[in-house]
Amino acid sequence: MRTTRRRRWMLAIAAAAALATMTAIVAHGATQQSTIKMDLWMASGTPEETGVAALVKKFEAAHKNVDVTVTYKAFADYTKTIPLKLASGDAPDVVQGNQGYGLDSTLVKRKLIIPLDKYAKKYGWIKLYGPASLSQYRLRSDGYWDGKSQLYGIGHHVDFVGVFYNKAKLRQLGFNAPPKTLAQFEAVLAKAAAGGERGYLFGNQDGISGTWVLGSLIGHYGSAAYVRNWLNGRPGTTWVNSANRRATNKLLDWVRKGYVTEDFNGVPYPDSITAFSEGEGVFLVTGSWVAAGVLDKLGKDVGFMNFPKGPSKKFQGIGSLSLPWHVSSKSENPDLAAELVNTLANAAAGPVLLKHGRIPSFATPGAKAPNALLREIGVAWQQMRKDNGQLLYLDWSTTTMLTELERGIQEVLGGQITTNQFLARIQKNWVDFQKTWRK
Amino acid sequence: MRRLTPYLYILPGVGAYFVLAFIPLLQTGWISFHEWDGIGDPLWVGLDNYRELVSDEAVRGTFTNALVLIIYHSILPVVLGLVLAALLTRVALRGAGFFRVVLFMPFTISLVVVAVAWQWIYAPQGPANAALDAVGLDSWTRGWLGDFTFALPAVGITAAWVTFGFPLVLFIAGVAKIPASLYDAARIDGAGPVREFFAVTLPALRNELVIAIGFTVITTLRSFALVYVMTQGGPGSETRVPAIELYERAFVQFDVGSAAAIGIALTALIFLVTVAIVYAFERGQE
Repeated sequence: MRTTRRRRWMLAIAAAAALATMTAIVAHGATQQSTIKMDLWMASGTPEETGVAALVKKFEAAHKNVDVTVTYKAFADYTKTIPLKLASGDAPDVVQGNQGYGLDSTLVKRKLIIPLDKYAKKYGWIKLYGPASLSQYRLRSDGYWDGKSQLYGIGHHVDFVGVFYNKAKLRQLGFNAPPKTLAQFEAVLAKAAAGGERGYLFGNQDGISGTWVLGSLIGHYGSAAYVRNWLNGRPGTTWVNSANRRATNKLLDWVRKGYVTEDFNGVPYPDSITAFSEGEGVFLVTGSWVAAGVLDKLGKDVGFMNFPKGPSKKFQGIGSLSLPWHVSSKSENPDLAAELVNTLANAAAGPVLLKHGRIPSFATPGAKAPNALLREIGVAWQQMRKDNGQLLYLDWSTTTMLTELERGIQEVLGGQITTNQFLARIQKNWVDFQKTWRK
Repeated sequence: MRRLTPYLYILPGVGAYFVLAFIPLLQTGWISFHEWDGIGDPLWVGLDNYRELVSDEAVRGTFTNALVLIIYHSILPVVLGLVLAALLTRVALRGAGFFRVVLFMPFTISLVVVAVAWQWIYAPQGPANAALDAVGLDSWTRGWLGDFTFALPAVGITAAWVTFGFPLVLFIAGVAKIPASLYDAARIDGAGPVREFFAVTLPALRNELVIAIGFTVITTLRSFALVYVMTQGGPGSETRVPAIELYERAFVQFDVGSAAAIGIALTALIFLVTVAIVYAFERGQE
């Protein structure tokens, strides 16, 4: 009898313990469920990383139950990995893409990312960014980049090409102000050449910096709107036009006159940045994104300006907003993901980005850049923005255009093909590519 | 059971070969008949990818470049290896072991390291031009890797430098096997060092030659890292090789089908060349 009672007691205790444990497990599960885990993938490269990290923290502070994990990958690996990652079973919620046919077209065609038009409306992106600058993120749902269909992404800072110049060198050569016109720009190069120095630092071994300076010259002679229409495949536009011919010939002229680095096709692009940072040459035409590195070495001697205006009287050149933020079509919380994108891209993000060394895509009245060089870059951007002068990047036009342009520019500047052959070859690539979309 | 034992021994090797080489090869072949971006459903296009390869001048150019590179990446190292092996084995050199190690060393260095180092050597302000300047050949200086005529030979010489240690070691080992009596007989017959080399050494190295030539030709045809790091295929497309074309199509343009077709074409070419080399030497032996 006693033993039975004891056993009963024990059973009751055991049952209670089991029940308690189960409740604990259930309760634990409940709290876990209310914590939302989100994944964000991006291409790495400071100071972009630090700015995004600060904004993500801000988002998490506003959403106590959300935990965002940020994954970085070097750009070259990133663009190759991201389509497969988005197609896989554990797609990140928010990712960076890349405009044009390099990446975004594939992501849209394969329905890996969703249109953001309703969020753009909700958060007021169109007004903040200006409708023209967002056309770079507008694609047809079959992946054709027409610049006017659905909005698939938004990029919060700007990456554009301009002229870094060495103020001390300009003074040495007898110029008290940076050149305002192309003639003045060339006068500096001529004076430097007369003194035995090649004023324009050109490292074109991979051909990429050749595409940038050619774009600057096309912006000088031609129309940014026309180039954008060509990139978007508008019928009737062509690469074989007088602005492009004059731009190519001008660059060729600089090569022949000894204004640019000798043997430029054999000089790696990073070496030209290093040389400029160490005080060689006068001009370096490259992207605003190298500012931090150049500033570290040259300090107050470095300045930045847009490439001189031409007949259009507009500041036009290679440039675009940064890699777009996309929302995965597999995200379980698309609204929340869009809100995260908004935290990265709204007006309040501007001062944070600026503090971390990036020029926001929109005007940030009152916010001050951390150094003089960034202020100059900011001014140049506002000029280009006001003139709607972004040519975007020429290689966005087809899947093979980057290699085609890089090779073509090396060959035309190396005297292997004529300007007309170069222009025709680029146009042929465009025509062949456009045909594949029309069949 | 006993009769099965030998097969059990080779099972791991054959299994690994099937999983890691043969099945991927079949898959690549299958993909090469499709238009595929690596994500969605592949679209059957039959032989279209191959037709496009044959008609694309740029692709044919990459194969021509690879064939030109054979001179530098295969023939030059084998000849150099033969000459050095003959010298190193003939002359009783103090510290011969040391020299062998030094000569073999380049072959053991990572190709990326080699490529970066030689990029610097060939730079407009680099040591190659400095050396030319020093001996009064300043009219010859140039940015070697950016020169439309000399970029491919420049890459080729780097390839020769990095490769020649391998045939050299093979040949030194091969010469050691040759009975001294053969050399004695040759000498009694009045052969000089050159005659001795062609009459005794070279014929005895037949097997080593097949391996050295076969191996270096295969490495040439599938070479990627050296060219990619040194020139990315430039200037223009002077140094573009099939592997770079394949890489760009597969991983930059997401055109996996035609990249697979290049891979299959390259595999077929390598197979044919290897068979031709072995056949040529075996025929020579009869």
